[in-house]
Amino acid sequence: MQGAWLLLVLNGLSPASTAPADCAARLCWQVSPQICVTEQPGQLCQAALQLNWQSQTLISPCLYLAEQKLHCWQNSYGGQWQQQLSWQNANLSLRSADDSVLLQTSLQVQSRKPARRRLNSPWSLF
Amino acid sequence: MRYCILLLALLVGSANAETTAACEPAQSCASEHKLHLSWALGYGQRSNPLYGGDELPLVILPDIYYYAEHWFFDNGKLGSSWALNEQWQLSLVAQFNQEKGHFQKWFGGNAFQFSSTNFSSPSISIDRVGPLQASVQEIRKRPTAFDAGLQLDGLVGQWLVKAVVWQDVSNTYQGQHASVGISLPWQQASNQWQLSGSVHWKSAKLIDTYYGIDNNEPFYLPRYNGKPSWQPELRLSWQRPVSERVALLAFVRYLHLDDAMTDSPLVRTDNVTTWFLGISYRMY
Repeated sequence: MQGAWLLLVLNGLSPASTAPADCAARLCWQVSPQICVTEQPGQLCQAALQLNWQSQTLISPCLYLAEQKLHCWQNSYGGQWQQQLSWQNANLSLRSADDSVLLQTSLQVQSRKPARRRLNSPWSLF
Repeated sequence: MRYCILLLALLVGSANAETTAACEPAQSCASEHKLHLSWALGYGQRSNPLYGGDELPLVILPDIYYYAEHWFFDNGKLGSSWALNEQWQLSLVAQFNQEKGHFQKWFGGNAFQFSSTNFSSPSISIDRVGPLQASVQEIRKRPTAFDAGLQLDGLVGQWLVKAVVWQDVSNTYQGQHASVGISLPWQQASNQWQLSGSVHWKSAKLIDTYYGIDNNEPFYLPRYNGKPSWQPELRLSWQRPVSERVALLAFVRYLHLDDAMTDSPLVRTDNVTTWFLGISYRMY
């Protein structure tokens, strides 16, 4: 079990990721997963990150994980994207050509077994 | 022996230390299934309250621990824990009794220290320290004891709370000791601090075994029957990470000895003071 870095991936259902099919806003998206659970604290989440976005106007957005550009679309009303990635807690954002943030959400990585408290004092042999 | 069997049975049982709350601050936390070994190089001393007992120089200190799912080893303490809830856990613990460390330099953690002095070795000519006093060179060798106990650890706000009760399971001194304490860890920029206060209680049998002088000792020594002892302690520790593996560290500890200790002809001072300043390197 020690090497099992990924136990569970939960589909995010936060307001920021409302499904495009149900979306009445001018721009909305669905991101999955938004919460990833690893076996041990500090491990990276390794999973296929998927997203759908939909806009009522023609836009040319780019997708960023933190400050890393992942993908761009040109003059589109919507788009889909999927890629196998490794990440820790980070923001995922959809930005316009002038780098203003159109949508963003946080990708959370939680551990099933968080670091536990030590039951003896450090350097306590003395 | 029956205590040892009970201890082993419980240690291999189905104890579970599953925790659900995040652990902060990092310096008092451990990851499971990962051996941690650090060495600190520096200088410090632990005073010796006994007549004829030398101060213990601290030059190289180890910090070693391993936490598995069902058991742990942490700086000489072996245990098995149950999470009572997110804040509290109960542990069955075992370790060598530390009292012998004042009498035997090469004992437990003392074995890591450098010194050419062995104050437990027999001496042909012994200078008397005083008519109502006795030095460690004049008395019989004190026994090595192994204790088992129950430890309760909790988190109350920012405070760490600890209570532990120990019983001699080696049939050596046939007594008990216990302690309660609180610690406050905090971080100031890159400096990690922890202030701890605790009170130790030691039974009359424990005090009598190590600090008493009975009719089995040389006839010319004053006699003393041990009494229960209360010993308050303060400890302040500091750590400043320099890189991922290197850190500066320092600590100072003051243990006060009450009349039950200082009334013993063996005991010279009413405190044990420990301090250390050095640099640590994490190997694992």
